[in-house]
Amino acid sequence: MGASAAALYGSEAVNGVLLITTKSGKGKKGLGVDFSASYNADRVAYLPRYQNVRGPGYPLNYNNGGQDANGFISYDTNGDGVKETRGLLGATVNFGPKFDGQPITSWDGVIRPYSPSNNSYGNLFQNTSSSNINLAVSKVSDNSNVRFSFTRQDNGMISYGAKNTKNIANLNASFNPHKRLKMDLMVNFINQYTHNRPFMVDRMINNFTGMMDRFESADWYNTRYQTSLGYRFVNGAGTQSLTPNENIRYNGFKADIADYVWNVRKNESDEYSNRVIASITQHWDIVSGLNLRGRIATDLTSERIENKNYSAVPLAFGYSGGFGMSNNLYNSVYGDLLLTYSKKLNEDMSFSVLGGYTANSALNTTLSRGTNGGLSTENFFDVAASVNVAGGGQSRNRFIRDAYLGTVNFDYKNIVFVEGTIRRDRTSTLAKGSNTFVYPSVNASFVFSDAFRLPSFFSFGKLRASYGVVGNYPGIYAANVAYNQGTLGVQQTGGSSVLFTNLGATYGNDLIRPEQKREIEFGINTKFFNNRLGLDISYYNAQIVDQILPLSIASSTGARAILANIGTLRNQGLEIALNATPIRGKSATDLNWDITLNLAKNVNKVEKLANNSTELLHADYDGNAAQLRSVVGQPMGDIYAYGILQKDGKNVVGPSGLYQLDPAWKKVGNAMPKIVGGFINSFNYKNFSLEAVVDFRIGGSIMPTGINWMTSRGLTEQSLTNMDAERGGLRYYVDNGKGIPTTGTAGPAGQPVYNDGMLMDGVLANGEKNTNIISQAVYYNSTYNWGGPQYSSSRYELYVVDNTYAKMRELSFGYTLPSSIASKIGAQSLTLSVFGRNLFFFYRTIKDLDAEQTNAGTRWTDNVNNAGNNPSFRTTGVMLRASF
Amino acid sequence: MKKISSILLAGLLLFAMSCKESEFIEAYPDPSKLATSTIEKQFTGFLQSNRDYVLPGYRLYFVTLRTTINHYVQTTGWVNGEGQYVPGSSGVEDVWFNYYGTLAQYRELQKIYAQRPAEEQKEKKIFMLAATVYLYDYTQKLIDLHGAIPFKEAGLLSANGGDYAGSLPKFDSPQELYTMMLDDLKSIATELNGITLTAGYQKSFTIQDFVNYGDINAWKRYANSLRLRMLNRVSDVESLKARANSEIAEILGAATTYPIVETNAQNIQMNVFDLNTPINSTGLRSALESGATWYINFAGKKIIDHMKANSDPRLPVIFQPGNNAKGEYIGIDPMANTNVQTALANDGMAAVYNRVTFSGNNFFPGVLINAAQVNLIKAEYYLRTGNDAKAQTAYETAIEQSVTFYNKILSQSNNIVGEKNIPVPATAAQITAYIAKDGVNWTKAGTAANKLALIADQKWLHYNITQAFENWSDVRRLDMPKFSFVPDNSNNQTLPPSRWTIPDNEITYNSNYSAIKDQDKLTNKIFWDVK
Repeated sequence: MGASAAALYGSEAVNGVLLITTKSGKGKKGLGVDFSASYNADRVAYLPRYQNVRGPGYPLNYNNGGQDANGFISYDTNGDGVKETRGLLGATVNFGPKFDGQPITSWDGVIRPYSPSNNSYGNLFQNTSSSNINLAVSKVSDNSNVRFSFTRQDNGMISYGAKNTKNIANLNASFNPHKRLKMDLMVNFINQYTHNRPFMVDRMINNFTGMMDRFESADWYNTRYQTSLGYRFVNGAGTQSLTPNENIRYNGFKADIADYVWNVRKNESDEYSNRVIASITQHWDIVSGLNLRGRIATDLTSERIENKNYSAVPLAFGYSGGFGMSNNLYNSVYGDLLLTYSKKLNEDMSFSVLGGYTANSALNTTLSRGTNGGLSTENFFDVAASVNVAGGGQSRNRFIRDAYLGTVNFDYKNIVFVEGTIRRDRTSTLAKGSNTFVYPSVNASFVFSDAFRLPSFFSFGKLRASYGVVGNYPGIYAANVAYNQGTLGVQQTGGSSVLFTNLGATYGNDLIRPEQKREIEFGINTKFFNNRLGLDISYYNAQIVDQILPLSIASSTGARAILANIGTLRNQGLEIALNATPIRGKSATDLNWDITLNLAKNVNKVEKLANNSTELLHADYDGNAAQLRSVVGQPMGDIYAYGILQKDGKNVVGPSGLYQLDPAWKKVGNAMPKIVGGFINSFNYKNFSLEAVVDFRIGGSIMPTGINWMTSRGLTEQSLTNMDAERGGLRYYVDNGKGIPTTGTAGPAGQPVYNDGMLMDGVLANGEKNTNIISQAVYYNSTYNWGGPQYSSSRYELYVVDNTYAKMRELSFGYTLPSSIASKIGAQSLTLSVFGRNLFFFYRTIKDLDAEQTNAGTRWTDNVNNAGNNPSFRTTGVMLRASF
Repeated sequence: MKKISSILLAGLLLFAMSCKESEFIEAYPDPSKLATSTIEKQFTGFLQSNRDYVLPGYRLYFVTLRTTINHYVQTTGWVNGEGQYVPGSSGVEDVWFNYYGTLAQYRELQKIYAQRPAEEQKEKKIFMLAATVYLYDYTQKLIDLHGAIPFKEAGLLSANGGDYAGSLPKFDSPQELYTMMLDDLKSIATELNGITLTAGYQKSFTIQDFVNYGDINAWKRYANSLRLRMLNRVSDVESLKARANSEIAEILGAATTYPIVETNAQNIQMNVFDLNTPINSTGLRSALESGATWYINFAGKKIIDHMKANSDPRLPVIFQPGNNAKGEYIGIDPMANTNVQTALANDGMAAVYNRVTFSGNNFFPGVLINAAQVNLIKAEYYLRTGNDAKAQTAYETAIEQSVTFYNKILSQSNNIVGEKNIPVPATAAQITAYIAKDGVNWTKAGTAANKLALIADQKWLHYNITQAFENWSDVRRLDMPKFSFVPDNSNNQTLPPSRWTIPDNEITYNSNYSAIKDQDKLTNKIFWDVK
C-alpha cells in the first residue's frame, strides 16, 4: 500500500487512500430488505471549571473606578435622587465582591440577589437531537443484482436554531447482459437543507469584552437581545431608540454576547443543495485473460443559499439589515479506461499487465448578489430592497487533470507478489512547460508462512515492502500571477468609467515546481494461534521534496504571502496493530472477547529550507507573544515563548512586582504527539454485545489561550487562589507603590490593609531579594493576559501544556432478538442497541476543555491555539437494525 | 453485435475523454484576471489603494484612530482603561499593510512604465510624476508615525520576479528619506511647470485621475504644498533648519513658479461623486455610530471647553450636545474618575461629533491638503522669521478658511442618520467676533511664544479627527496644546507614546529589523521632534 497504491490514484492520494466500497446486493438470492433507525441526543459538555465565588469588578488596591470598600457602586433606581441600590462596576475582570445573596441591580434593570446564576455560557446553546432512518431493498438474481436504499437524516446542532436535514437515495446495480460483459451502475442523490449553520463563537472566547461573568445569566441575553419591537438591543441611556425605557444603561452588559445572540436567534441563513453522484462502469472480457474496463462518473452539486439579516434599527434612524442570495454549481466529470491482461505462465507463476488512462475535469461557478447599504423597507428580504446599488460576486474555477498509468505484477505460488507501477500526470494548476510529472513505484510481498515450515502456533505471516513517488500540485489558480481589474465607475459629471488594475496581496509563482513525496514502507502481518492473535507492524519513511506552501512574508516586500516550494520535509513513523481474542466462544452463544489495539508514532522533521533559512515560521501569536516554528533538523511544531529573566540563577522581578520577561525566545513545547492510538474491546455473549472504543494520545502541546485569558479575567477556579487569608493570601499595605507585609489592621500611616497578597520569589534587577507584595488580582490579570512583552507581562509559557488524554470515544451495548421472536414480524434479524459518544475521559492533562476542542482545521498548524469553536458535546442514543 | 458495440463504446470513451494540451494551458490562468496592464489603469489602481485611509474609512476610524491618536490629542472623550497608551497592534498594522500595499502598486506602475517604449514614456510622464507626489504624501505620514521605515528597497517583489528572499528591504533613516523626498519634489515641481499634454493624453489623464481630474495646476499646488508641509515639519532640526527656512521662502516668494493651495477651491481631496461607486464615505457612519460603549464619537473636554470659551463658530457644526444635555456642550474629562466618565457617556450627557456633518455624511471628503492647513504653516513660518504682519494675515485667513471648510462639508451631507437638529452654518460675523476673542486674538497674545500657542490651538481645532495624523505630528513637534493624562501604572507605558512601533509582522519576517531594533521604542521621539 502506501505510495504504491497511491501511484494509481495520483496526487489526490498524497496523504493516503481511503477506499469506500458501497454495499452491493451480492450474497443471498432473492429479495432482501434492511432497515435501520437511530436517534441520539447531544448535550453541551466539557466546559471550563468556572469559579462561583465572586462577580465582576475589582478591589481598590487594583484600581479605583469609584467603587466602595466592598467593591460596589450605587444606582438611584427609584428616581428619588438618592443612590440606594447596589450595582457593579462596568469591568471586564471578575475580581469583584464575593456573592452574598443581597439585592443588587443587574444590567437589565432588575434588582436580584447577588448570587452566581449557574446559567452561563453553555446556556447560550441548545441541547439537541438527531435521527437517521434507512431502508434498503436488494434483489439478487442469476445475472443481476440491484440494491436501492433511502436514508432520511434530521441533524440538530448545539448552536441555537441550527439544523440540517438530508434525504439520500442510492441505487447500486450490476448486470451481466452477456457472459463476457458486466455493467455496474451507481447513482447517489443527496438532497440537503441546512438552516442557520453554527455561528462562530470567537468574540466570546478570544475577546475580553465577550466573556460572561458569573453573576449574569444567559437567559437575560436570550431575552434582551432584541427590543419589544423586534429591533436589536440598544446600549446606552442616551442612544436613540423607539423604546428608550428598554435601553440598557446599567453596568455589566456585554454587547459582544448580545450580538452573538442576535445573530443566532434573529438572523437566518438557509442552504438548499442537491447533489448527484453517478457512475457507469462497463467491463468486457474480450478474450480469456484480456479485460477492458471503461468508466464515466459525474459529481454534480447545485446549491442555493439565502442570508437574511433583520433590520437592526428602525428605518427612522437609518438603514440596516441586509439580504444576500447565491447560486453555486459544482460540476466534476471523471472517466477512465483500463486494459488488463493476465496470464498463467506455468503451474507456479502468473503475471498481469495493466495500462490505462484517467481524466478528471471540474468547473465550479458561483454567483451571488446582495443588498448594499441596508434594506429600504424593514425586513423586506429581497435584493430589490437594496438601498444602494446591489453588490455581488462571482467566480469561475476550472480544473483539468489526466494521467496515463501502467502496472505490472507477478505472482509466484501465491507466496511471492511483486508489482511495479508508473504514472504520468498532467495538471492545469501548473504553468505550461512544467505541468507533467512522471512517477514510479514498486512493491513486493512475501507470505513466508506458506514458504517455510513454521511452528504450528504461527498461523500466518507476510512481509511486505514498497517504494513509491507521488506528486502534489498547487490549488486552482494559486500559481498564476496576474492583475485584478476593477472599475470605480464614473467619478465626474459627464465623465467615463474609471478602470484600474492592481496586484493582489498574495503573490503566486509561475515557476512553482510540483511537490514530490518519496516514500519507503516496510510491513509485517502475522497471525498466531489459529488467528486468535494478530500483530501488524509497519514502518514508513517519506521524504517530501519541494513542499508547496503559501509562505507569509514581510508586507514591505510588496505582498503579504507568496506561493513557494519551501523545502524538504521528512515524515517517518511506526504503526502497530494488535488483534487478540482472549476469550473465544466455541459457539455463537458463548462469551467472546476481541481486542484491537492501535499505536502510531509519527515524527515530522524539516530537512532543508529554501534560501538556506534555518527555520520556518508557521504562526506568530498575539503580538509576538508566542510562535510556532519548525527548525531545520528538529521535529516540526516547536512552540516558543518568553521565559522569566534570570540573574545568577534566580528569577528577576520587575518594578511592578511581577516577573520580568527574558527578551530571548525559549522553546516551551512541541505540537506533535508522541503516540496516538486506539483501544477497542468487543464482547459478545448470547444475544448481547458490548463494544467500547477508547482513543488516546500521549504528548504534544497545545496552547489554549482562550482558557488562560479567562484566568486573567478572574473566571476560573485557579484565579481564586490567594484571594483572601483562607485561600493563602498575604496581608499587606501599600506604601509608595510597593506592597509591605504587616500583621496589623492598618498601615503605620493609617493605610488600608489587604489580604489578597502574593509575593514573587526572586530578585530585583540589582540583585536584592524581592519583597514587593502584589494583589492576586493584579497577578492573575497580568500574567494570563494578551500580548507579547511589548504589550503586557503575560507569561505565555504557562499556556503551553502537553495534551495527553485517554477518552471513551464510543460505548455501545446491543441486544439481538432471538430469531423465534424476530420471525414473528417477518424479520430475519432484529438488533436494538444503545450508544454514547464522547462520554468521558479516563485521564486528561488539560481539564478546562475537551482535549480535541482546539481542532479548527485540517492543517495541524491551525490546531495548536484555539478555543474558538462551538463547545463540545456528549451524545447518547439508541439504534434499531432489522433485516427481512 | 455486442462485441462491436462494446468496441465502439470503448473507442468513444477514449476519444471523448482524452484531453488536449491546449485545454490545460487555457485552464491555468484565473479567468477573472488580466495578464498585462497599462500605465493608465495601474496609475488609478495605485491611487485608489489607500482610499479607505484618505476617505474616512471604517477601519481607520474605528480600529486605528479610536484608541490611539484621538486619545493622544484628546479630540475625543473616552473612559480610561488599562494599557490605553500602548497603540493597539491591529490598528497600527492596518496602516502599515495599507501603505505597503499602496507602495507595491506604485512599484508595479514603475515596472510597467519602464517596459514601455521611450516615446510612450515621454507622453505619459505626468502619470509617474503625479503618482510620486501622491506616494510621498503617504510616505511622509508613515515616517511621522514610525521613524525609520523600509522604502528604497521596499515593494520590489514583483520587479524581482517573485524572489522574496532577495526582496527583504533594509530600513532607511527618516532624515535621509525626508531629504530624498524634498529633493525629488522640488525637481518634480519644476518638471510639472514644463509639461504640456496633447489632447489625447490629457483626456486619459483626466479620466484616470479621480483626485485632481487631470488638472496639472492642481498637482503643482499639491507638490509645493507638500514641500511646505515637510519643510515646516523639519524646521527645528539643526541640520535642516537653514534649508527649511530658505526653501519655504523660495516657495512663498514665487507664486507662479511654485503655486500652493491658497483657497478652499484649490483643496486637494478625494471627492465623493457617486455613493454607488467604491469612492464613498459610508464607512464613517458605522465607525462613529457603533455604540456608546466604544467611546468613538464623544467629544473631549479640552476641545469643547476651548470652543465654548471663545464662541467658536465651528462648535455647532463640528459637535452637537448630548441628547439629554439640554443644549449644553459637555466634553469627557480624561482626568476624571472612570465612573464619572462612564456616566456622562451612558446618560447621553456628553457632546458628540455632529451627526449631520460627520457620521451621517456619506459624502465626507478624503482630505489630503487644504488651504487652512497651508495658511497655518505660513503663519508659523512668518512668525518664526519675524514677519508678524504676514503671520497675522495668514493666521486669520486660516481661521476663516477652516470655518468655511466645515460649512462646506456640512452642506454636502445627505444626513443618512436622519438627525432632526441640522446645524446652522457659521456666518462671517461669527468669524470676526471669534478672531477678536481673548483666547484667539493675535495682537492680544503679545509674545511670539504665545502667538505660536495660538497657531498650535488653531491647527488642533482645524484638524480634530478629520486630519488625525497631521494633528498628532504637530502636537508632538510643537509640544502644544498641552494635555494632562492619568498615568497608567498597570503598564510599562504610563503616558501616551511619542511614536508607533514597527508592527509584529515586519519584526517577525524582516530580518533587517534588527538594525533599528534599539531605536524602536514607544518613548523614542521622531527625529523632527526635538523639543
